[in-house]
Amino acid sequence: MATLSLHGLTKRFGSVAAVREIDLEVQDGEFLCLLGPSGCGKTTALRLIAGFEVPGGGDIRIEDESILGLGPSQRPTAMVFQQYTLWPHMTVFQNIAYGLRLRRQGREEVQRKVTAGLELVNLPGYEERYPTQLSGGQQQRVSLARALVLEPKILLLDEPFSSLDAALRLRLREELLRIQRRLRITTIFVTHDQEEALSLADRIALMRGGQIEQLDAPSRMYAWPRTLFAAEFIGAMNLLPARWNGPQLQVGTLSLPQTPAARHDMEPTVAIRPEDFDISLESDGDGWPGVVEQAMDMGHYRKLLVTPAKAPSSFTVYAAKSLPVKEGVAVSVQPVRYLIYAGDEAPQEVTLGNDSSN
Amino acid sequence: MAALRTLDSLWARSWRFMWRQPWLGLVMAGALFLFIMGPMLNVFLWAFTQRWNYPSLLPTTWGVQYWPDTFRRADIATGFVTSVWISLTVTVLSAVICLPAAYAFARMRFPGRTLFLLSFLATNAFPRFGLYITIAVIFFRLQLVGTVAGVVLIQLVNTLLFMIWIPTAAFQGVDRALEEAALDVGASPVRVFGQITLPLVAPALAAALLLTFVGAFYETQGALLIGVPEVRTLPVVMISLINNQVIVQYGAILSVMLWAPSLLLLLTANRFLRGDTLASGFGV
Repeated sequence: MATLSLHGLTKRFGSVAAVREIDLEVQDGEFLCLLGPSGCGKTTALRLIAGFEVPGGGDIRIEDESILGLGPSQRPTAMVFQQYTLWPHMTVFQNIAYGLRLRRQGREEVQRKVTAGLELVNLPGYEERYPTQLSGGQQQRVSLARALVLEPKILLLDEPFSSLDAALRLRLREELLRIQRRLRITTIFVTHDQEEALSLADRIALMRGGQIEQLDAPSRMYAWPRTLFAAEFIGAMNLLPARWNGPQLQVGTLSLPQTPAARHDMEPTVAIRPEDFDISLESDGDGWPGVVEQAMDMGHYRKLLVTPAKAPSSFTVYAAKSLPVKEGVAVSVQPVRYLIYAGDEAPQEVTLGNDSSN
Repeated sequence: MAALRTLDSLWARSWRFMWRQPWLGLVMAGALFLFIMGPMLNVFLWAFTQRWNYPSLLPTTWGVQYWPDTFRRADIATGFVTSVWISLTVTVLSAVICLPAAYAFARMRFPGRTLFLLSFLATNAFPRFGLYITIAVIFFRLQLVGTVAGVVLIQLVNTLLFMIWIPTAAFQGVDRALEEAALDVGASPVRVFGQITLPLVAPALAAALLLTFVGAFYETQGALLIGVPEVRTLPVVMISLINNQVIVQYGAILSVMLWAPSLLLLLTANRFLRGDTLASGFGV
């Protein structure tokens, strides 16, 4: 169990900076997700921590001691890879025991730890199987056990579930979280799946272009994405171009119900989550009049594509199943919570009270 | 017109009927078998023949009397020793030269890598005899003609394809992440190579070594051109025995004996090569 800190960490590949001066403090026992689109530098950052890449600048410290002088085999980190990396010529037991044996641990101790490791990942009794006899999910669990039996200070995971099917991915997510909570091991988890990051992490470091765009707890990041990029990347979001009409902010010719005092020299973008609309079937209500273009049944809610009468583009609205809404129906939608982005400034949040909705 | 169409469909139907008969497939398979195995069968029969007069379909008198004679022939005994010795040398030398090169091709990026790799195909892309003649001229000047060293050198040329391409593909086939995973749990790079990489490529390397050994063992053109008359490998001896035609049996027996290595190759290959190894060796 340990803290990890990155100081001005930089890595270039040729002329491309994959990681640019990253500063990051990870607390003891924290589950941190490095989230971002492909090519944002998240995997490179992880590989720098593991020691597979040598940084061009900066420092990596574990428990406030630099580990830059250590090779990957000496670092107190253990990694679970995106690909299946069990050694195919060794049994599950040999795979998990490999690192323990390298540490010259006694036969009984190795035996005990492998058994405990397999129990931890819910695969007791699989010792004598070969990797080819395991499913993808089982292989990744064994990989996790292989990493955990070494009792690393930092656990690194590089999109470990990305090659599994959706249902299995969800189950392994839960299992990983259970294990992490039990062991309280400092964990860095790389993913491009925002849902995965939101559901697993204590904090998310959203990366873009080799830098950390935003570092926040999942709920905060979802509620208040610091930039337009974050707003677009995290969760579903309607991004509507707006403009100032006197003191009023308008989307098309639709006025926003409440407009904060803000700089008027910028073309702002209004960001509204699909669930942050009040929707009513009375087209002459307070909200924006529009027509339901498409209604998708998503199980416990409906996803509507609403084309407003006076705005240039349509947007997505989540409606409760209790609302009897079909395609082609006229509705009135009222944004109750939105963010206004202008330039590089932090967004302004507007939340309407109960009195202004309905 | 209608009559013609009826005839047409009748023809089509009888054609289909004929093709559905199981005996037809059997006859065709038999014909193919004879076509491929016929010459080998002939040689095989000759090896166990005492006397075989022209019109008879099978040997007139059977016998193995020529076998001890064949083994006792000095040229064959020397040829056998020479062949094994040369093939072993070629295989070992080829491995020493090619395997590190294959690893480099698979794992390192350097300018001209692809071109260099393709150049090893070049020896197979052109008529080999022309290449051999040119080499022979050079070897003659270097006084390598008629020496074991000369034969070994010219046979090395043949081994490049198998010994570079198969191991290169095999090394490339080892996922880097498998090696990184071993590094990550604390193995040194040397240990990773010995305990992870090597076991994973071992089947392909074994295939390459076997193919190289057997290939060198059977190689005739180069050995004939460079080695004769001082150095005579077994296939060269066989050629002279068959060409001289005094007693066909010597050549036949030798030929049957020469099947042994390739038979061995097939059996061993079957035993410890996974079905996909040879194919994966070629990067298919």
